[in-house]
Amino acid sequence: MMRASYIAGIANAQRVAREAILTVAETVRPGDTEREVCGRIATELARAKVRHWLHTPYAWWGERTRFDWPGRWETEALPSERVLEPGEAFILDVAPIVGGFPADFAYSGFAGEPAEEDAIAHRALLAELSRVKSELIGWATHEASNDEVCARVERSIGDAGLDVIHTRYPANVLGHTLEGFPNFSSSAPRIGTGFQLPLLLTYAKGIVLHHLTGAQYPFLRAKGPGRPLGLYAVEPHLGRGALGAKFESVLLIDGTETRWLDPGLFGEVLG
Amino acid sequence: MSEIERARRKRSPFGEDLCIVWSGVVGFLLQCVRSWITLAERRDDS
Repeated sequence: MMRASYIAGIANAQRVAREAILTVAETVRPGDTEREVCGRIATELARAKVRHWLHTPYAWWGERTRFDWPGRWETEALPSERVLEPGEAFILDVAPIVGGFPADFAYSGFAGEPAEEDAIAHRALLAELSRVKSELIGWATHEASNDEVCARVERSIGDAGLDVIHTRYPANVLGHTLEGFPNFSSSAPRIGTGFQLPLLLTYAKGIVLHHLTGAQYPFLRAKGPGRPLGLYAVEPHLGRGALGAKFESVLLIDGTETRWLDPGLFGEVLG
Repeated sequence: MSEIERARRKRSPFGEDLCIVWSGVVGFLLQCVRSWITLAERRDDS
């Protein structure tokens, strides 16, 4: 497949995911549970004929946006019956496979009018996310190592007086590759909720190939080997007080070119 | 071989990646169990 058409396929998938998340985000109201809103995102994506997933929709309310829970991420992060209270922060995150191409988009918002203190904290989180997004283009060059890129993001968040949350994700990833699709696992059926077989099998295969043949490492993570190359879903996640916020967008690092497919924070996917 | 090429070929620690894969498998199985329990609870509720 030509490189340009692969990037166009990922961009189209990302547009579909963004549209679904932003459409549902507008409908999120106090009283909604995480499960109800995840159901609405899945319904929205079913209209776009999504049948396969890297991961099904996630929604986190209030203090859950910080991932401060005890126990394993995979089970604690699943959508719960937690009810959204007025003025609470939320995060929506989904990774559908659209026409064989994976997407991964996340949005951070508020339900109704937040308390002034929370509004200030959330503005600080979004300002830092915006800054990290624009700076990453300079940090994630083909000459920077995986470890350097992650360290710079963590240092930037720390310097802003905020907490780094993305290191609490499985494998402590800042990002994961979107290369190598469609593949043998892309049409695997949905099993329950959360991470799905296309995600697990693709990254397990990526790790095995990395060790056997020296193929590109599938994750962007602190202490990760080599240098970033290709398309990544990048998801810096930071926190302040009881709040957390993140974005998830696709970053292209190809040779000397580094650019976001959607340059603005939660903005339009330009491709 | 250039410094960039050497860095690109550097391998991740094998033990660490084995833990990631193993943790992914365990996490996925636990997630399946949790999903089925949730589904069963919702069927009971309805």
